[in-house]
Amino acid sequence: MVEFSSWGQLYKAPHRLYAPAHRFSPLPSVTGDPPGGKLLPWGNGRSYGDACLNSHGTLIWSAFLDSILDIDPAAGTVRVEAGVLLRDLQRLLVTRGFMLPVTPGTQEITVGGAIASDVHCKNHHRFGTFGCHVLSFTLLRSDGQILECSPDSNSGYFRATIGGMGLTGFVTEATLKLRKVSGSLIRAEYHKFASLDEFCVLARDSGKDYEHTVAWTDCISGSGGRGIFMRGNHEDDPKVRFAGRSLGFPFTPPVSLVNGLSLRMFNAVYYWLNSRKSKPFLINYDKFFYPLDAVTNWNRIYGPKGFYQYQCVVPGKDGMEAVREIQKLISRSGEGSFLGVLKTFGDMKSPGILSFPMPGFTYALDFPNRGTKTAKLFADLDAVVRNAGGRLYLAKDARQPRELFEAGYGSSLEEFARYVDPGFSSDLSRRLMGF
Amino acid sequence: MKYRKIVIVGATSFIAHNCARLWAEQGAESFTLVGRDVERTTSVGQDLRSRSSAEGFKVSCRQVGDFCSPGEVEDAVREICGDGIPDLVLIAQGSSAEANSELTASSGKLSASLALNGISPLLFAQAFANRMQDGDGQIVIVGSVAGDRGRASNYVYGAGKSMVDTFVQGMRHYMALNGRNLEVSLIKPGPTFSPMTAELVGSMKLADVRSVAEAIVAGVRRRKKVIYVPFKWRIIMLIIRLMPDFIFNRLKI
Ligand SMILES: Cc1cc2nc3c(=O)[nH]c(=O)nc-3n(C[C@H](O)[C@H](O)[C@H](O)COP(=O)(O)OP(=O)(O)OC[C@H]3O[C@@H](n4cnc5c(N)ncnc54)[C@H](O)[C@@H]3O)c2cc1C
Ligand SMILES: NC(=O)c1ccc[n+]([C@@H]2O[C@H](COP(=O)([O-])OP(=O)(O)OC[C@H]3O[C@@H](n4cnc5c(N)ncnc54)[C@H](OP(=O)(O)O)[C@@H]3O)[C@@H](O)[C@H]2O)c1
Repeated sequence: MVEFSSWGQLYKAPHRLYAPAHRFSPLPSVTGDPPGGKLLPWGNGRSYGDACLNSHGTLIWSAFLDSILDIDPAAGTVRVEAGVLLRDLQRLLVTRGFMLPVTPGTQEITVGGAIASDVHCKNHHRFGTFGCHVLSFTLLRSDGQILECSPDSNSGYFRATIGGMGLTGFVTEATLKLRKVSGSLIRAEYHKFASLDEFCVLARDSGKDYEHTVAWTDCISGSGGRGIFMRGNHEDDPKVRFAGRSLGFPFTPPVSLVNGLSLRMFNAVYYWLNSRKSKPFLINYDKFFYPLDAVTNWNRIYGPKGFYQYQCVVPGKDGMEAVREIQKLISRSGEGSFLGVLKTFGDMKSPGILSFPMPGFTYALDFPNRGTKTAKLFADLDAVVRNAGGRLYLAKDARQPRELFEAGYGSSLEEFARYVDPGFSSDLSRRLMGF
Repeated sequence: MKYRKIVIVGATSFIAHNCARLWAEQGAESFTLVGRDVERTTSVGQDLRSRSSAEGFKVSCRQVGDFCSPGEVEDAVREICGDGIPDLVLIAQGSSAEANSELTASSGKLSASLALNGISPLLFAQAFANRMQDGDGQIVIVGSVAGDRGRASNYVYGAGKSMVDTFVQGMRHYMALNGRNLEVSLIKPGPTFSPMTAELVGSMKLADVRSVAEAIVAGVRRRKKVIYVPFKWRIIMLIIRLMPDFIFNRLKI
């Protein structure tokens, strides 16, 4: 048994570990002797909550399935094993004039994890989720079946696995659609805003002309609602290079304890630094998309009790009211959050049955685990999300009550359950789905 | 320097595969991959093709059913060299999957382990050396720190590896005496994350395979004689080798 914890480091739990040496290996038997408990895929453990944990059960780790099997430049596709890290894949693709259309705020995740959480990026309004660009994959089931899944074959499994949090089987390889790029540069602009109204104006005006939009909000200092709006496009002139020093992310979070003071300082300094860059500038894609990847294991700064990320989506135009309400509750609670990441989701539909995004606003905030105080705040936030008809992102969740989950994901749950592998289970599925 | 033809024996090894990736990224022009399973070996080849930066990149696979059979090894090496003499051969097969106690409880297993970890790499190494000794290529064998001193926990595996060590010393001596430029080197990895050691995750610190591969590739480029990876194992093993029995025999290592 090996102790594993997820990115939020809220708890450690013993797991049996099985890391297949290659993608042709069968899954271990669920009822083996001694029984290994049920199975759950493990990618790179970048889920914040309990989606990637299966306490006292078996984790199927994709660490050795890291081959890039084919890049087809004519078709603009790549075939990869499920354990390939997006970082390695992107680094190579960019030299061939391609990129993944959708990557999350860290590239230290696997292709399998990206499919299972149906991750989203800053360009949701243009490109939807990761799952929108998955052409096919191979799914290993605990009964030994090997299912080739695509929109046309085993389509139920295809749709259930995208966003299915590893509960439908183990993905061994996938074929993904790529997008063309001229280089690795993003032409970016950072604009400060003083209120959520200003955010809404910026978001509305940027949606058409900018592929990537996201805002960092400061929930502690000031009157609330201020922040930095970042937008950018891929630089499409391949001749453009910047010489010398990379215009990187100007500031990485202080590696210190997260307390009221450091938070306030961080937010103030961050705000000040970035508010001075309203003119367009060139930045390498990795610094623009994954600023936190520059600090290895930044999650440890929260100390032994770990931390939570609360990420909700609140639908429609009224969603902004909920965001306002959330900010108020946070500011009143004194449970400050480093950064709130606020963005708009567009209406592009993912094939995933349990996929998280819906048109509206998504807000993600980190909180140190301060026990009942934090739990109390979350209960208040839950009420806002529920009333707004929103839901929480399973890849981030470690604590939502089952009734909020059921209200949020509603009728999709029944359809999803049909494709769940009875030999698979996670701490999250036992907590929220009863299996 | 760009390699024109690299042969990897035991190409599905995670360590060897990661070295090959680096060579492919650096522009090596062709690979011949030797493995016992066609499907898995082909998969490694596909990965190298995807990552290669060389124009007209070529990769071919050669299956060898029994790595310990002198006949099969000789045939494979003859065929591979018939297509052109390689400038670099990496020999990586080996296994410490079975516990020492299992190996000592069965003569069959004992013999199989010695054959795989000791005899098989040497059959390949000598067969390649016989064809490469007029040139200035390189033969690199993956040994192990386990071969530096016999220990209760893994001396069967260690004995296979130390056999390789002695053989490499002798080959180097021979090349020197005969004015040959063929370079024969030995890699001695410490515990490294790979399928062979995956069971140790959580109970032992394992080196990251990428950095191990980088150190190997750098050492091979400099034509080093013995490459300990990570480097600290050179010091640790020096201490262990020099340790007097009255201390050593009390250590459970
Ligand atoms: C700093 C940071 C920023 C982030 N930003 C974003 C963001 O902007 N947008 C976003 O959407 N997410 C974001 N995330 C969340 C992250 O993208 C997801 O949690 C992702 O699923 C993690 O992938 P992983 O490879 O680490 O998988 P794990 O965390 O190990 O597993 C995640 C889920 O995938 C399943 N899984 C893993 N491999 C397989 C497989 N081979 N077959 C089937 N199921 C599998 C697991 O069972 C589990 O349910 C962020 C996370 C961090 C740490
Ligand atoms: N990882 C470590 O900590 C460590 C430390 C010191 C030395 N080493 C040495 O490094 C080398 C590579 O190991 P690794 O860590 O990369 O592990 P690995 O990925 O498990 O590779 C083992 C290799 O040996 C092959 N092999 C195993 N048994 C075989 C057999 N009976 N016949 C033919 N081929 C066989 C495997 O082929 P298949 O794919 O066909 O099974 C595979 O290519 C080995 O020689 C090992 O002893 C490793």
